[in-house]
Amino acid sequence: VSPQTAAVVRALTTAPGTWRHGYELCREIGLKAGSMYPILMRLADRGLLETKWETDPPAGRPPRHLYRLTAAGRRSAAELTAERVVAHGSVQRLRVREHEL
Amino acid sequence: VSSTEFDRADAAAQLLDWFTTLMPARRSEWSRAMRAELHHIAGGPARWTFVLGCVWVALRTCALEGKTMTSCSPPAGRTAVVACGGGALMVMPFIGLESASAGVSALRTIDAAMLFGMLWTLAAMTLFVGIRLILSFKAERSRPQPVLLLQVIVLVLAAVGWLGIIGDQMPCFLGEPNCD
Repeated sequence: VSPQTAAVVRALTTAPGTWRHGYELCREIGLKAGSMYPILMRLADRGLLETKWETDPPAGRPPRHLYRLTAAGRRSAAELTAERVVAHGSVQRLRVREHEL
Repeated sequence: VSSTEFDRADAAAQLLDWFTTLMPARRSEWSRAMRAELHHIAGGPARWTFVLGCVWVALRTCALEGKTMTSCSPPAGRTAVVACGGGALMVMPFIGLESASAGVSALRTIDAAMLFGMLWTLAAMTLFVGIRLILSFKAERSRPQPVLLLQVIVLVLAAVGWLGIIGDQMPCFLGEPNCD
């Protein structure tokens, strides 16, 4: 998983039930649309992301495409976080050992 | 959400509309998503940054998921638009040089109009034929030999003509006195 994909998944995990739109995610993570949409497409292709169209868009504007993690996506996000914690712990242990030596 | 619902006067939206047509049919929902999102973004720079990113997505998706390379190839009409725009960009530096050396009034003469008109035509022709040739080679599209030969001849003549005029007129562009 690339750091960008992990960042998107983390952003979608912060409020798992909330529907988010593409530009909002771009701004939150600091990713350009050119990176964001391929990641969203891949996550949707793998069944990790569900999509729907906005039902009540602001007047005069087309409905936006909205995204949130599926149950499988939330499980993957949890695994990703666990891996990150383990990796972080390993690095910390290595640093402590290095310091002791 | 059809593209006709969008504001036609918006250049960023038009550019995005144009490029998202290159995306494969199975990605139509995503092309609609990007077009719709643009209409909720305020501010010129933010809109253009978003559009450039989406253009990249459209080209990338087409190249990676299109059935063939030809599906990413713009039709002749689009190539012509790109060639005309590119031709104008190729001529602009010389218009700038001419106006800097001889003054803006020198650009209002018939001679100047003919010179830059010819330069623009040759540049656009070179780009148009060049792009079509590159696309057909990339698509491994077979062409009858006479058509291919004709295209190469036009490309070479247009390019040589353009370079010849530039070479001939360069002293004038650079402000050499008594230059014709």
